[in-house]
Amino acid sequence: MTTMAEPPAPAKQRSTSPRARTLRRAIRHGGLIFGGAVLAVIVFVAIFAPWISPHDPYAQNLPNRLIDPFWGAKTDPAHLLGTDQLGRDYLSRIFHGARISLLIGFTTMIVSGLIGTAMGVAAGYFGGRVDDIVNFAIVTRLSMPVILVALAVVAVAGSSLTVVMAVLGCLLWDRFAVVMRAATRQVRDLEYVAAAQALGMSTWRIVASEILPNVGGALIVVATLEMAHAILLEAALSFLGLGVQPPTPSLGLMVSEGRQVMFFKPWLITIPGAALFLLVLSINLLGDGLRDVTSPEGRG
Amino acid sequence: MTDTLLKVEDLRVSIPLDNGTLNAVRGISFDVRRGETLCIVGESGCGKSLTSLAVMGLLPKRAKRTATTLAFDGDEIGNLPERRMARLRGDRMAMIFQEPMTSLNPAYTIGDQLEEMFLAHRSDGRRAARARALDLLQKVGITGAERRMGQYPHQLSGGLRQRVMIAMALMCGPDLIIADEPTTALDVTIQAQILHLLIELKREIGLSLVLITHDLGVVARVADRVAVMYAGEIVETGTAQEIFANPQHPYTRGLLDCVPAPGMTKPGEPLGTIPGVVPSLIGELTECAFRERCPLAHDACRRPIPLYPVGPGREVRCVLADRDERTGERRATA
Amino acid sequence: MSNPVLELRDVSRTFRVSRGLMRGKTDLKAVDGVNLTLQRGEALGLVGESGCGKTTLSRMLLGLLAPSSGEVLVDGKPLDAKDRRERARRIQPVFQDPYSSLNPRKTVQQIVATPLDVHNVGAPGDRAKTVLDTLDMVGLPRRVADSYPGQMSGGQRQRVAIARALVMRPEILICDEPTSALDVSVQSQILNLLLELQKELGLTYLLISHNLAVVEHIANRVAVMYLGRIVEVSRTADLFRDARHPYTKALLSSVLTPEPGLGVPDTGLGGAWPNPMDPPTGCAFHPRCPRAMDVCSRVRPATTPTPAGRVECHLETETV
Repeated sequence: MTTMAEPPAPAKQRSTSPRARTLRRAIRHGGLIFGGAVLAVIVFVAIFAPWISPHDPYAQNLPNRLIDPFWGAKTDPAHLLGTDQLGRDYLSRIFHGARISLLIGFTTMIVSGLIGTAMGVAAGYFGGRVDDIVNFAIVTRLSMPVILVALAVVAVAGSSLTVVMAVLGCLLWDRFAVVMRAATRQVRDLEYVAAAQALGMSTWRIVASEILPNVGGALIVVATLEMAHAILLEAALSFLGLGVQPPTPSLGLMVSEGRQVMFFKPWLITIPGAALFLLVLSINLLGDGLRDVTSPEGRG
Repeated sequence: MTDTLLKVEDLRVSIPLDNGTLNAVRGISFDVRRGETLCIVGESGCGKSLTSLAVMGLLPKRAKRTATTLAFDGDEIGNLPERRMARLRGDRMAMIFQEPMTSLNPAYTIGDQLEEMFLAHRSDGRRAARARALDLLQKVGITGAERRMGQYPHQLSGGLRQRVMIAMALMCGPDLIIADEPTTALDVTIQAQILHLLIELKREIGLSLVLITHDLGVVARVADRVAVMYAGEIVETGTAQEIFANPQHPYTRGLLDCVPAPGMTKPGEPLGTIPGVVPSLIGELTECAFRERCPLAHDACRRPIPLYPVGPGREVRCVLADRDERTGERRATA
Repeated sequence: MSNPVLELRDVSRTFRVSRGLMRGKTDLKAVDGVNLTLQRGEALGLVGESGCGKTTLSRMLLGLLAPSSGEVLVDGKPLDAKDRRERARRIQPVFQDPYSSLNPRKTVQQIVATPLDVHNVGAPGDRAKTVLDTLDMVGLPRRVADSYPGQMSGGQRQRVAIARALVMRPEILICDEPTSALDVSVQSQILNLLLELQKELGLTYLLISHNLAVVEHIANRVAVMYLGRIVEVSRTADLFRDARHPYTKALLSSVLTPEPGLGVPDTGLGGAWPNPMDPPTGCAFHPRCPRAMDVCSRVRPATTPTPAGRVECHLETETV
């Protein structure tokens, strides 16, 4: 028997698994850490909003309306971010607004992610007719303006959180499909996939155990970016009155409602605007950071 | 006009990494005379490609290069500003790379690229450039040169593209061509044709050739002189005849034992092997780089080993260089 | 008398490829009426250069591609799609690139155990032991079972690939350029391993390579392929001593042995290059053949048996 001809220590210095290496790179990436930290705070706030909100976000208190936030002129320590035209505590509404945004973001990301990934991986792996059909679907979808489709759906089904989630979930899968298709095509031609096929492995199993783990990096990046995309779209739809209805505290809706007193009390729109900005920024930083960290070198 | 065209002394290339400095080339010296073919042979990671890039001044930005002497035709080029180096490149020193598809710009025709090479260094005008391009295409064995001038790289096969690369390297009549694995990506019959062509051209024009390869067969057939590289150092030099007939360094011997050769190795019998792996070049190595894999290693090998001369133009980086390994006695120089 | 464990009968494979943006599609015949038998226990070398169809041929043998026409027979019985798993238990590949033939996200243990899982071989509890035994067989220390391919050298990875191919104890290994991507010093280790395993396990090899020196060392018979056709088959020693086909002769003369002073011969093949999308009429080799005759451009040569095998060349029939 040929005795072991090479000592176990590899010539290169790396002695950790791909996962450990990725983790090490992640810790050093400034954008990823900052984005991740801010997002973690927002998620915490959103989850525990009912318990940490100082007031009920729906509770109207007309004598106390339009109080300034703590840096303004007419302040009240009980309302750190002031109150809106109906006297509702703004801080509490922001907390709950973040909740709505994140709920929309996650749900849409998962629904559209499932649809888009399934289509993209199928197109990338099977090629041929399947690829043609998926490409046609993508092109058709891209020629549809999201806002107008939302308008049409709302006209039929009424506007609500559920309708928004359904519309966005069914429309935002295109980037998933495109990216997953490209990633799958790259992986499909590698020899370990051919080895699995030569093994007689079933197609499902090949996709699950050989393809998906190796396109996971690309998927995570697209998922975070689409989540931010969905949040902004929901804000836009609610702003236009096509999404969440009052008195639900959606950040977009809060901006819309604040328009009436925009010139007297500008913070009514700047605070929810800033909250949206911070949320989307942190998600994008996280997504960029993940992309950098899981780039080809991280794939061993 | 000196006889030594390229003189390299104590060339070092280091690359800073996250976990230390990679000393990829650790002090190598060699000469190339006019009309001579020097083959630098070694396996992956030995530093041979970086050596060629270092000589041409084409190292990536983060790599650091130092050398006691880096002289071309008697003139020191180690400290030349990039502008002056660029004028030398293509004009008097040319390089041929391994992958002809990526070295040729897919967006321009062969003719455009050949002419541009000429016009970058000469002021003779486009007509002269085109004439020279056609002449060279024919010289490298491309039939229908007129038609080929208007074609794009993707319309040519790998072998043809590599011939175009050779023609391009010759456009300005260089004195020295450095070829980094020029035939590794080609089929064997094409490889034979390209090498045959290079030898013919060398004879015709009096070209000097530095050929970098891992293929010992190529080295044996093409080289006048050979430098064997291992772990960033040259471990043995000599003429092709000397190296193959009487390899002195244990690594060279090991390499030659590994290669199956029809008529020389017995089919079905185990080939020689070199156990172990190349040591890491990050940080400093304070012993012979080959010690852990060497069948003749002993305590004297636990320090940096210099190159020992064992004859004119013959050097070996091994403490046993001038000693018979069995008896330990000094032997007559090879 | 003969015991063909694998047989190709008049196998062809055509692809439809596009000729460019506006020029429509054309047929590319990658494999053109190939007849080949692989005897039990032998090592058959398949040599040829790029575009000759050897990779397509190996993919058909592995069941990754279906032939456009002709049959593939295993132990005399034709295989069809239903028998994919049966075929997989008997024929396994070793690929060229150790860097892309192993899933970077799986450990060595998982990679080598996969065939056992897919085919439900043995009790799940025993599979780990089978994996470790197989690692022993290919000369890897047992502790690499928990490593990832990214932590291993090229030679080690290739050993893992061989272990994966052998874990189900197949009869036939299709080795597609198994050492071309490896350093010389590692290549010899892998070649020695392949030789040893063949003796120990009684394996049958189809060794595909462009490196004739490697083929001469391992194979007992050689088939030479050119533009989709097998132009010569011969016992190894006879091929190297006395090749009949002009292409084989050119190939052999291109083998550069490490003998200084012999220079690089002129193969006499001229400047033309083989384009599978536009194959020549008659004998596919005639544009590059130094001994081409008039008939070679018109008529495809017939197969002539020789003492050591067979050859497809008009020169054989003309001299008869």
